[in-house]
Amino acid sequence: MYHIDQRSPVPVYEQLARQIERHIVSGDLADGQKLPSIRELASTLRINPNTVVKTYRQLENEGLVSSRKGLGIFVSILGMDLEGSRDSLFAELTDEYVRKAAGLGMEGDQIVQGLTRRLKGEN
Amino acid sequence: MVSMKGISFAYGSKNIVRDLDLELSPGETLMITGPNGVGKSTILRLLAGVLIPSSGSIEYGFPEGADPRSRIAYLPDSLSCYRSMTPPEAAAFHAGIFGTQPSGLSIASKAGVDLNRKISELSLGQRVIVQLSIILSTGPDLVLIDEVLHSVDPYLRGLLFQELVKVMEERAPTVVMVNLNFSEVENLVDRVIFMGKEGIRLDDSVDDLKAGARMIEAESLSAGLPVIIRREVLGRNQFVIYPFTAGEEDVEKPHPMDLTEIMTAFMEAEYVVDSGTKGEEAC
Repeated sequence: MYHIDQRSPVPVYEQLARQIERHIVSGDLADGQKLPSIRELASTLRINPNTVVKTYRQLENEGLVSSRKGLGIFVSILGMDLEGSRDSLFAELTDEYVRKAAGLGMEGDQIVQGLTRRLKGEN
Repeated sequence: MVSMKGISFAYGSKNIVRDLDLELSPGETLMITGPNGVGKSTILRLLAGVLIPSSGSIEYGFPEGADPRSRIAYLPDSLSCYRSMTPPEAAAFHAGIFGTQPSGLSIASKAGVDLNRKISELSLGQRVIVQLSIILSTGPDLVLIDEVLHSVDPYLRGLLFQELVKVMEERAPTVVMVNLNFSEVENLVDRVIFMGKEGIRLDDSVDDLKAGARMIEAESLSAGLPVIIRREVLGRNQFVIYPFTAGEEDVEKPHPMDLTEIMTAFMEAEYVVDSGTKGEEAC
């Protein structure tokens, strides 16, 4: 479910936060659902428990989860701008796509045309 | 806070550690690495109190009145202790010395260790498991693990790391590991110290290392970049830069690196004495 990219310059806690955010935005993690405990997640992924603490703190600051004393961490998206989150994740994805296409030597128009063709199911 | 100040240690006339200063924060997980013979294991032994420094001092900051030995869990690189005992006997003996509860040896059972056999009859991997579960059972504030995990098969290593993570989560001890295999621990450690022949060559957080290390393939580089090592790969020059700062626009495609690649570059730089591979002469 979660994957750490060892070669990424993005810190592990941030990678994890973004992956959980993606699961929330996509609906894989529903509102009110309980997230794994710090120990569960840390020992499964073999990461430092402090990293998971940081991830959950970050998500809490962003208003995506809330912690209930003694009970755990829960998805909490009441009043969250899920559309906005989805838009910014989509923008990131698009940037990456455009960058990689440019790396193949494609120009703006070619990228748009190529994408349109693929969306229509053409080659 | 554990604090080593001006620590030196010599075997006979051979200086192994020279004037070392090192501060460890509570809850921090540190990896010490570097080429063979630079004193990594010696630092662990000094921290464990197994060796006494020839000069300098170590402050542990343990609670008043606590027997420091009961607050330190040390897994040495050679497992010689308790050879003639069975694991439960060893656990009880250890607990007797330190006045703690004998451990349940639950991971040892999970690892298929026959608890009726003498420790000397167990496989090396099983001995590591038994010893680690015994030392972690004292509820340590300082955990010292020397390079022993490579002798343990991947399944048992998984169990060990689970146990370590559990202790880290419950007690937030300071953990110091001496390690030459980085991929296994790279998400467990938050700080890396690289020891070279001249002492500490690098002391940084893993996040900073990964954010700042880049591999670049190019004919030459502009002067002033902090080149760790230059190598020739398939007829091309490969440079490892650290710390790389964004905004070096003329640099082509800097590739991020994982911890193994970064540490290998530092290791290589220690072995390659050719001055042409270092610093401003790199291009």
